[in-house]
Amino acid sequence: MSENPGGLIRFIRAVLGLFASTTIQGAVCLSVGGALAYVGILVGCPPSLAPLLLLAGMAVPLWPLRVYYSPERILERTFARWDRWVEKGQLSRSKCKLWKEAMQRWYASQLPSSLVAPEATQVPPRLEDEE
Amino acid sequence: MRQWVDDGYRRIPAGPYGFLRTRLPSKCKIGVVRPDENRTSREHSTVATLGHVTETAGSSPEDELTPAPPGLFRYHGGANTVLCAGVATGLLFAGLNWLPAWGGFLAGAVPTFLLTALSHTLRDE
Repeated sequence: MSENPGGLIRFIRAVLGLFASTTIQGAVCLSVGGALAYVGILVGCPPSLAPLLLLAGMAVPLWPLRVYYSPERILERTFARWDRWVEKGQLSRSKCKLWKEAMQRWYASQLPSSLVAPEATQVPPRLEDEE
Repeated sequence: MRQWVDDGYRRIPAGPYGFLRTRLPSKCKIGVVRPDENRTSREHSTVATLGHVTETAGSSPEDELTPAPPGLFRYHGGANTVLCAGVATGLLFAGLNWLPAWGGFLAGAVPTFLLTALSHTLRDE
């Protein structure tokens, strides 16, 4: 990575992106964990159990979050949102189609390579002679 | 003859290796531009206006012709793994009284975070 100056930039971008996503999901986890710890203390659990209750509560929303943020669900929600924009006239059909193609390419990149046909991810440019 | 790229409403000359070196919609047409002396004045102005974008760096022609999806989509799976690892080690270490809960969480989350970021970096390369 040190030989390629772009590698460090990509690593920093990955760290920032991962941190941003972790804060989004971590906020949900901490909310549930904090609520559980709060209820536990109200019920009469010893304070020494509070950290364990917090962590146990944090574990609860992890699976729903994984499903909610899975590539399939993201694709489904994003396409539905873009379709709504097209219906409202906020987005042109051609641009919507272009975005969907790009998004499908991203989705294909998330799948194991054995499941993706090579021609499904490539859109060759059309060649045309002017004269 | 020089090559050009036409996305429907504008025409841009290709880069030195025959492909446009910038990010454009995937449905653009690639063809051959007329020699300078035969171009119309409109073509001259279009080429002059858009000429600077042809020098944008890029690695492969196919990548340059497709827009990348924006957002944090690609990081959500990794972030979930980081939190899973942190919570698991936190519960384990705190349950066994080896580390405080926050220490156990960090002991699992930080290495996973760095490994996931590295994995994303290598995948993007």
